[in-house]
Amino acid sequence: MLHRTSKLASLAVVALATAAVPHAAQAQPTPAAEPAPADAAPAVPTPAAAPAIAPTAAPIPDDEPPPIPPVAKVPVLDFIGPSSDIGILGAELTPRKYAAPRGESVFEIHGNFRSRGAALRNLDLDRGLDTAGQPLYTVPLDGGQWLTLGDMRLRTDLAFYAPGVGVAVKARIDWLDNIGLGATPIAGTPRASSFAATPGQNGVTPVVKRAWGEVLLPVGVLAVGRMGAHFGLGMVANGGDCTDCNGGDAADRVAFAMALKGHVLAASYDFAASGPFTKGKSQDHIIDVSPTDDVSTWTLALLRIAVPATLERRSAVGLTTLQYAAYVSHRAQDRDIPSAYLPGGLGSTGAAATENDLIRRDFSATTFGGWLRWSRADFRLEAEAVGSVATVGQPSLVPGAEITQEATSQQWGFALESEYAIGNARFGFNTGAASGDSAPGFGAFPNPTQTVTQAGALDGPQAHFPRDTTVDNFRFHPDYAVDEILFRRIIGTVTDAVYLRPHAGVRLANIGATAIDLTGAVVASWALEAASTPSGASRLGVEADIGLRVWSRDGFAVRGAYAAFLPGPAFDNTNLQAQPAQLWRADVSFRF
Amino acid sequence: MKHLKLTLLLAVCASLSAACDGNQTPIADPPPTSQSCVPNRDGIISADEVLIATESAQYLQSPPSVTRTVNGAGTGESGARKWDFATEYADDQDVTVTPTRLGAQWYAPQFTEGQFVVDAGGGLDAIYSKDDRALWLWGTASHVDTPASAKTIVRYPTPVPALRFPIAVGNVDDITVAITGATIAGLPFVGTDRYQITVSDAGRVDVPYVRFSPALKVSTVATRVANPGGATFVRRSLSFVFECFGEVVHIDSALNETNPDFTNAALMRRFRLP
Repeated sequence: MLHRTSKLASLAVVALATAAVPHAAQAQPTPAAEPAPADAAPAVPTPAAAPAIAPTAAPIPDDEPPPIPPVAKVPVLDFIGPSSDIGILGAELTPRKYAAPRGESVFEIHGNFRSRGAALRNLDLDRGLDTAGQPLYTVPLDGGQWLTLGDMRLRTDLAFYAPGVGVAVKARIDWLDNIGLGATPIAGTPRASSFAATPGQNGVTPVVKRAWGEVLLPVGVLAVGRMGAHFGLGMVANGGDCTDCNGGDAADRVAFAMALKGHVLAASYDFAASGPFTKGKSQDHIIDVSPTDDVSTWTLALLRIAVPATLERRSAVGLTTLQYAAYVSHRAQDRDIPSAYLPGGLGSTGAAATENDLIRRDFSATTFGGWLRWSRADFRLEAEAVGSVATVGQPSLVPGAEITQEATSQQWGFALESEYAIGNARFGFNTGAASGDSAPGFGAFPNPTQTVTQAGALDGPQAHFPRDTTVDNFRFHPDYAVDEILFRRIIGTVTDAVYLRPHAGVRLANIGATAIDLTGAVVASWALEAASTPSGASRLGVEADIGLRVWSRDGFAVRGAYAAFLPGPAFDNTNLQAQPAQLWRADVSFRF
Repeated sequence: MKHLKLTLLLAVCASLSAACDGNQTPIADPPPTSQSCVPNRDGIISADEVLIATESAQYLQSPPSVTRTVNGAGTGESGARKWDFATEYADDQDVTVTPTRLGAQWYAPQFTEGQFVVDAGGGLDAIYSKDDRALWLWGTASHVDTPASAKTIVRYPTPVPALRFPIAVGNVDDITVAITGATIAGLPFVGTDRYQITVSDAGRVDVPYVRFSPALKVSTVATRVANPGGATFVRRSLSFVFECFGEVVHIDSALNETNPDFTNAALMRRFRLP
């Protein structure tokens, strides 16, 4: 099975790197300056700026409440709190603070609580089962049309600063990690005082998703640990930092960033996968008994990005800012122990791995990516593109049954977002595409133990040895959502498709610190490889998304949204035409 | 905007009119759960590493009356032997072998201890059962019992351990069973069947696009003698067996082949990728 090659992510390094540049403060633009992109980065965040704010890289989702911008202004910030960008690593460990080093340890906490609910109608499109015998989406057990979902998450981003200026330890803990509303009831006990009373909910275990340290060195910033991984729009690597994101990438990484001729040069090494392990003699630590099966990723990036404070200042005086970044990443795995993760393998039996479990893999993938953002107070143009080639020398997952053909992959994808503000209105046009594979099914979430995809199936593996040895469909990161129904839920992500997404929004009211926004978008999409769709037709359909958001500068937001998807002939069955699907949702979030 | 209006109109209509309608998509059966078996490559095949597949297995098979040249002796040292059956032949046939549960067949009442049936070729089924000790062969029978000239049924009084568990190099079985009351091609038959089964070696087996290692080589000499004083028929076969996959290569000699390392195969059947 091909590894997802593009979780490279590391890259937008930033301001911390400027720590090594004594005159970094000179990089602050002056209001009188002409538009000079060179001033935009590297930049040093001021103490007044919210520390650890992602410089740019995350998308600007419709549902996120940035600080209320003045009329006719495109928001710069999309969330508060540490993002996953390397660019923000150590952003607050700047020389500027040498003027006032901390006298004692300091603890900061940011985060948000969100709760979401949605009603889904007919997401299976009433078109029957696909040729794999599966519906396009979960069918209600009562045979009706409605599904519902509701969950909540309390996220905290913690930062501990050592006395002085140069050392920080940070962590992300999700105390309720997408826990379903009412999903953990206390049952089977007589705790409730009456039949009408609820016995309550069981507690849940918090999840530590990240923990890493940062140190400011004379030549740059070093970060070590499990940290967020994000790049650009989040199309390839996405830290899942937005309020509506579900997963997000974290990487066990050693990263280093330094200033270089007005740019930031960053390098990272990811321990993507390791093991199996045995315990040391004292039973209190683990030893990797097979280093040759580890998966590692090297990434080198060059970036020119501005921190939000810089963007705000430039925006305030009407300056245009150009930011960009590019990276190359290489991921490799020489050998593998598939029995450690296959059903019925070592994970099931509890047996220890032996040399017999070790097989040849010869996997390597090289990815090139770039990101660009051109922005001013009243517009934003942002794009990300990626290309990746990969080879799996021995694709079989079964120990002792080697496939003698290699699997290859050539994937590409891009996403473009634009936004223009006029008065109280905002308009824009987004588009994107992800390369496809000629095999049946989209290949969005293939089952690794499945070997063949029949024509007419919605999903399935894209390689079919020996006739088809390629896996060429690129998959957008699931947290980079472009719609509500088709890609986000039915297919699961953008893959083997191109979409066009004109969008608009209007500020209905500003009431003190509260604003009311109405947004709308239409998403039209087509499959790049018609053979990938259930019917063999390429037109996927049209979706309309409408949202009404009320949000305050204090960190509270509530949003209602409606979406309707009109399926195209791509989803028609032989005797049933695909029918429209709809979605209603309401979200509430509290940020601190 | 036209699309948007149309979408909204249809969506509202649908939401108002179809709140309680039934779903046109049925609830799907859960995806079939394949039997979990991961080879541990220890060179020994235990009973739980021989799956009686409920799914079909695909093979490449030489056509009838076509002889393939094979090297059943392999190359290299014993224990690290290599057998190369990876050559692709244009006239190979795709065959699917699906074990079926014994029950509905015309001969089922005669094999009460049998569990499943595998197509043995030549219009015959082989009736097997499996337990922790062996894969037992209970006899053979024709697919149909009519016309009378097509009817064959040979039932062993005691089953033959076609594969004795655990399968390991050095296993030897020499079983002779008496046949009484049998019918072959519509004619009564009395005689004996003798099976000399040897697990003789282990090594790597190459088939088109796949290499199995370590596979075990199982040599079988089946001798049928008709009583009294009837003809003797000898069939030699080689099977290469791999954990969790079962038989990945099967080779039959021509009838009455005398060379244990025969090089002309009357039948060659090899695992193929689905």
